[in-house]
Amino acid sequence: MSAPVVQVDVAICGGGPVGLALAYLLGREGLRVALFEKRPSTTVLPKGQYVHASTAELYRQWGVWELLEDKGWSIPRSNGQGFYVRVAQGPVADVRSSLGTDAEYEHKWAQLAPVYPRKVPASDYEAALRHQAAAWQSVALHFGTQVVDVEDLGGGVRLAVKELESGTLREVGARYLVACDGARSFVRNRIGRGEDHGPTFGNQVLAEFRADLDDTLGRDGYFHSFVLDPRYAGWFGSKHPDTGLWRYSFRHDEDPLPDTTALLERIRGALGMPELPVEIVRVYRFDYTTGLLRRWREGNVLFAGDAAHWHSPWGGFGANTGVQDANNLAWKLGLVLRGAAPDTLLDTYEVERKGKALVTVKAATYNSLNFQAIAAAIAVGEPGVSLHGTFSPQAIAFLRECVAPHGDNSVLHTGFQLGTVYDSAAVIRDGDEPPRATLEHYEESTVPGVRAPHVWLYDSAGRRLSTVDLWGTAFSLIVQHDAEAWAQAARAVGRELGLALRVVHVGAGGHYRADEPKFGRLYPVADGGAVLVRPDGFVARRLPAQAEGAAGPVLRDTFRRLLTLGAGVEAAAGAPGQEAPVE
Amino acid sequence: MDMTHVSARGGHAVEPAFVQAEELLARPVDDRLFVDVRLGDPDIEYRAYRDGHIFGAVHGQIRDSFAAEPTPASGNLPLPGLGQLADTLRNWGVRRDTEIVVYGPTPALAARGWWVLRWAGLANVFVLDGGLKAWTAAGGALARGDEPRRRHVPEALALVGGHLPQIEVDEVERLPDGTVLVDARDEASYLAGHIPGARHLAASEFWTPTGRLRPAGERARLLARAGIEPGGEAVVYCGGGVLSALVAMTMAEAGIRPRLYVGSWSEWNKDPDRMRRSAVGEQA
Repeated sequence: MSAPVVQVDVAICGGGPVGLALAYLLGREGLRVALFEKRPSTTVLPKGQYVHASTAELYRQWGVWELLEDKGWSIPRSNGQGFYVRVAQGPVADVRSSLGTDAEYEHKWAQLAPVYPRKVPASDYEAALRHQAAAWQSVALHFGTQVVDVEDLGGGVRLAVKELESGTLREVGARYLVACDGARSFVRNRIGRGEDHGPTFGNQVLAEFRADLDDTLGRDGYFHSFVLDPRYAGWFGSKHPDTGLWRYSFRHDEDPLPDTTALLERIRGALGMPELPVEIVRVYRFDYTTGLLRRWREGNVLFAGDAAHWHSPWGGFGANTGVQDANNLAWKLGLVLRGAAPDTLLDTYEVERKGKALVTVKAATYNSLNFQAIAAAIAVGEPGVSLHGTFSPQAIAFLRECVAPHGDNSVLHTGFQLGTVYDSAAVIRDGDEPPRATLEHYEESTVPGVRAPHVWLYDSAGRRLSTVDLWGTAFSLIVQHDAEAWAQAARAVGRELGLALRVVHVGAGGHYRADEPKFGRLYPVADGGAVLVRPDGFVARRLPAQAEGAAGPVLRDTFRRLLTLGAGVEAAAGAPGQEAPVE
Repeated sequence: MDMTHVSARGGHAVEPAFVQAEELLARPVDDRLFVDVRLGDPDIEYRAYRDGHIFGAVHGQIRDSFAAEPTPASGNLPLPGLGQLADTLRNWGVRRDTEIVVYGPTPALAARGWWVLRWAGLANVFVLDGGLKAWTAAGGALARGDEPRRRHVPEALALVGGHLPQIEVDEVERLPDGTVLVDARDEASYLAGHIPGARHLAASEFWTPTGRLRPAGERARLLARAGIEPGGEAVVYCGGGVLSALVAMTMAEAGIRPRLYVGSWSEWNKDPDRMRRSAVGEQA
């Protein structure tokens, strides 16, 4: 290859939700970013609908949620999962994600997050992410451009990219490359150093079709509707809010796709509506594989989203965990590229995110196999199904027992969404253990390593905002007393180490008034102490009240540890003549 | 692998050609190449390779890598030309001392790779017992996707054939009485027609339904049951020199000197004269 034509701080391979989120975040850091995506535009596939609260609150922080206000499904049109023998006979069991009214659903989530989780088509949220990422001057999004070669030069990465329409080849040099190119990652194939694999869920077919189902499937309002009749086993997806199309998916173990007649027969059979007019619009075929990349960093190449962990879509984990990967990685890349932290800080990315990915691949695999187990178990010894479309009362009772443990919160997975805990060099523990993480249950806390919990705040004009809205561009030091002393120390240490550190004064005379008693219960700052929150919204350290003059040294020591500034390593932005380091 | 391993039988040094995944993982080697050996439909096999293979493994379609194009008179999978094999190995980045570990959907496919490489003079070649499944179970790293880029090797190896004994068809036609001739195909194929005098010993007997080799003692007993004793000689064939390669490996390990008839039944049956002399049904 000849000399690079373009030189950027970070190249991103892949323009799905993860790559676009990362491009947005790195643009916000002021970095020069080039993103390459071989598709001509953001996705048009009918997929990736569940936006978790943890993702939605970031989207809100990024201005993405606003763009999605009128997009996606309403709660009553996307409420949990229903089980049918055939649809016409009505549901025989279900798991709802909301049992009460919409107001009750919103109220429940307002305790935990500034926004509530919703179902939004991937095509909508990818377009919104692209819109926000493209707004940064320093970010260039190259759709219709494929990465065709990649080479780690040690200290930098060289890419060859091809504009697919013109066939033009270009070279790109980047300090770092982040592979966000999905389960079949090209970069992983070239640079990755080994994976662990799980089950494959192969031969899936999905048909989008038009039909009048508003008074049947639509009335029941499930997001996914499973059909248990073994001849028609599969699931229906709720009516798409933009296209008005319905989806039906099933397993099909032959190479050629079923022809239209067979497909119509199958859809009508699953619905139990032999005369229903149905128009097939599109048919897709796909496989899900399961895997986890062993090392998420190879020199100056990092892996995020499906390129690092890939699995079946059941649970709606993929896009959500990938966006969280980006949120974890972006500020670290920012600090390293600005010279405020050594590149060892990047090693905390895998340490922090891989634990979550492990739970994710297990949960998604469990969800897929669990449904297969239920479907197979229900069908045993039921000759009446094919004759009359009915299961025995015992089968129905068994089914309900199977789904009962999956109460509303198991569909919502509050714990999965909000209960992520990090334990790495970029967190300073203080002896307290974070609440035990489970998929289902989330317990708010500010023990270092957890997501700094959401509390409503009010500014001097009375405007309401969430603590989560404050994170993102800087480290935040939440204080209630001795604000001036903390602020002075923060300014000095921020300047010395070349990092953005902001004091957020909550309480009398401060920037914000907080919802009480929640703030006081969760943020232990009433005695003059402080809670340090990382730019990604995770608690880095809790600091007790400091004696006069001690806040500076304690903050300096804190950041030396958090940024992995080892002994003898000075931050590049540190200048002589400022406050002497205290060791 | 313990190179000082010595057979209990008559002091023959038995080359430990089968290797366990655990041994490989416990003994990392910088220059080790895995070859994922396949024989089915090329597109389907490559798709299967792409779905998952041992990390770093190259795709070794037997037709391209371990066999030459068949001719009207030859068997289905004649031995590859040495130049062709040397080119393949060069593309795979193989040097003289590279450790090569072959594996495949069955041990027999791997054994074909092993036999050809050993025949061509490479010494450091092993068959991974249990293949991908055993590797995965032992915690070995996997990969998805296309073949990895291999390192550049400036020169192809100079290969010389004949490092393992083989036998050509005209010699098979004139085997002296008393020569042990083994047909390694499945029973139905054997009964439908075999080389006169061949006794049947299906290669698939040597592995379990999960694709793992049966223990060495059991392998030796299977040979003994077929009347093949340590210290003796044997000729082994199958359909095209794949199943028989595994039986030949097993024989060598048990202290028997096997000659492989690479052309096998798919060459034998090309000639009407030979076919007229073929035997059908149970062994006489």
